[in-house]
Amino acid sequence: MVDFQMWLVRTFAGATSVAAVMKTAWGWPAAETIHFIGLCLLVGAIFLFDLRLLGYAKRIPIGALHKLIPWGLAGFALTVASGIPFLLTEPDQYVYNPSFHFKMLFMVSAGLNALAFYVTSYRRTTAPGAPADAPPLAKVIAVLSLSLWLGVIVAGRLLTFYRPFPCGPEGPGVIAECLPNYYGHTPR
Amino acid sequence: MGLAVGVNVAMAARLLGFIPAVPPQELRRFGSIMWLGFWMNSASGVLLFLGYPTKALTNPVFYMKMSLIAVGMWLYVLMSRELSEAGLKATAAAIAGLKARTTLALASLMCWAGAVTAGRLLAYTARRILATW
Repeated sequence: MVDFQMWLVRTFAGATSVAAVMKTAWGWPAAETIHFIGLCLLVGAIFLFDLRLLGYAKRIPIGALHKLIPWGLAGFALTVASGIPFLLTEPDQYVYNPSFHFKMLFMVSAGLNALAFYVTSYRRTTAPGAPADAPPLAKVIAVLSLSLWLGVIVAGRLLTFYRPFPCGPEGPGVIAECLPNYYGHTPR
Repeated sequence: MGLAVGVNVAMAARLLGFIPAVPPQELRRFGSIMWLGFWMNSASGVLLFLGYPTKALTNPVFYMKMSLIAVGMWLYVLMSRELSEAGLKATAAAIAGLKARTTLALASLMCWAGAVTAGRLLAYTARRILATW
């Protein structure tokens, strides 16, 4: 895994033109601002929909509120588009950051959870005349969705507090959470 | 932040006609979620302010952020009131009010985008961190 991480860092570091823009006075703050605006759109759409699945504001048809999801997807697209430049500019600060590992884990899990909703519950909850109360499985998915996105936000906020330092003499673990010595590292 | 701004975005989306099948009065039920987010932001914001008061008070962007939040909350009250009226039925009066509603929703969206932007830029525009007497 460490070798894969080192390869990722080398590959991302190759995007020098992105890094050049990000290192201007406005590059980083502009990307952060877009990231946060995207986050607001994402939370506004996903959290409201999840709360509705859990029984909040039951008089709103679930299918009607589902029309808000494209706003959430637009928000997600903004966060991804503004997030990738961070990764390309300071790859080692993310690839070796334990908080980033958790953020990615939560994000992928949230994606799979959303997929599970569309496979198992979408038709039953959004069809015309569907009951106001969502089935139990959809509620479980909603709780997972709220928890996972909250995890993404918290892990994202904690990134800066878990910046990786150079690895000690014991070297990196199975997944590096410190900066490996590129010249002296021996793969396990 | 996501909760407070997110509910405002949903309300603006309803006023702009993007989620027409959502009963407007019912959307107001999410107001409590908005207030939850708002008070969470306020409480954590006060703590951050108490940690570095000079940093905030000497930065013009801080006042811009506070002003935009105040206007945003005022617009929230207006949007909330608007969503309670007659279910946005396509009556002649509603059609006449369409332009005003669009303006209100767009103003709210721009206001919150501005508040988020100002909030993020605070970290980059601070001139003084601590007071020196």
